[in-house]
Amino acid sequence: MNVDDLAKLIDAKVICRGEECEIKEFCCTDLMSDVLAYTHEGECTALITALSNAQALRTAEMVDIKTVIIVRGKAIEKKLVDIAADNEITLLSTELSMFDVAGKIKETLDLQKEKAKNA
Amino acid sequence: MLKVYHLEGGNFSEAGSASSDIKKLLKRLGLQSKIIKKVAVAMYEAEINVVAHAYSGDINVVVAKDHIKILVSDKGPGIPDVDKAMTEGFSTASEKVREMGFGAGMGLPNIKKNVDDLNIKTEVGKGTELSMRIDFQH
Repeated sequence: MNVDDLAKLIDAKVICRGEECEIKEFCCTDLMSDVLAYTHEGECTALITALSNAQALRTAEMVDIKTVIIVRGKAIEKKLVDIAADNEITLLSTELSMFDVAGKIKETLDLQKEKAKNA
Repeated sequence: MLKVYHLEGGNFSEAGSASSDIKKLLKRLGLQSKIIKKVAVAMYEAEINVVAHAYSGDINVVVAKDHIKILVSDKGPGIPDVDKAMTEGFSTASEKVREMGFGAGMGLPNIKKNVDDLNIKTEVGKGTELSMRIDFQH
């Protein structure tokens, strides 16, 4: 899934556009310790979180997460945008909840899988 | 190559900037991304620990030809029971730290997982000194 398709799917604003990559994995959590401890070796992972402070972006930077989705329309401080821009991280903001964002993405990925199987 | 950073306890908005600087430096040096990630995660966890628990701290980073050494020393409460602190899930973090997305008791165990050598010297009421080494070749 690319960033534009993702933004459209979850009705998100692109606050900052970074390095483009085909997103293959998604990680849903507000616990940055978990992101640091369990992040997959995957090349293009998106983090879905309600945590809208600098540490969400710093954590993404450390583990090479290139897309961060802030849910529930949380206010995004300038510091976050600065860290995103400095590290070529795409920052998205949506009014949807983490549950709805994950649900929509899962539905789309499952449909894509189904289509690929039947093709 | 030697890099020195100063950390302030409680200053969460700046936490991670030292690790960010080192990560960028290692990228410029052309190291493998797997190794860079290990260094970044270990150093960032240590940085968060100082900001979360100590009054102030200093980080000294030495980049050698085949390894990196990171020494993190802080003035703070120290760790009363290091074995307990190394246990996944054990945490003494404050509510404020948890609001930042940390304090799940994964910091020290995660540092250990990412480094080749870890040494912890601590004195209750004085502070903690963490020294770690990560080798570039595996």
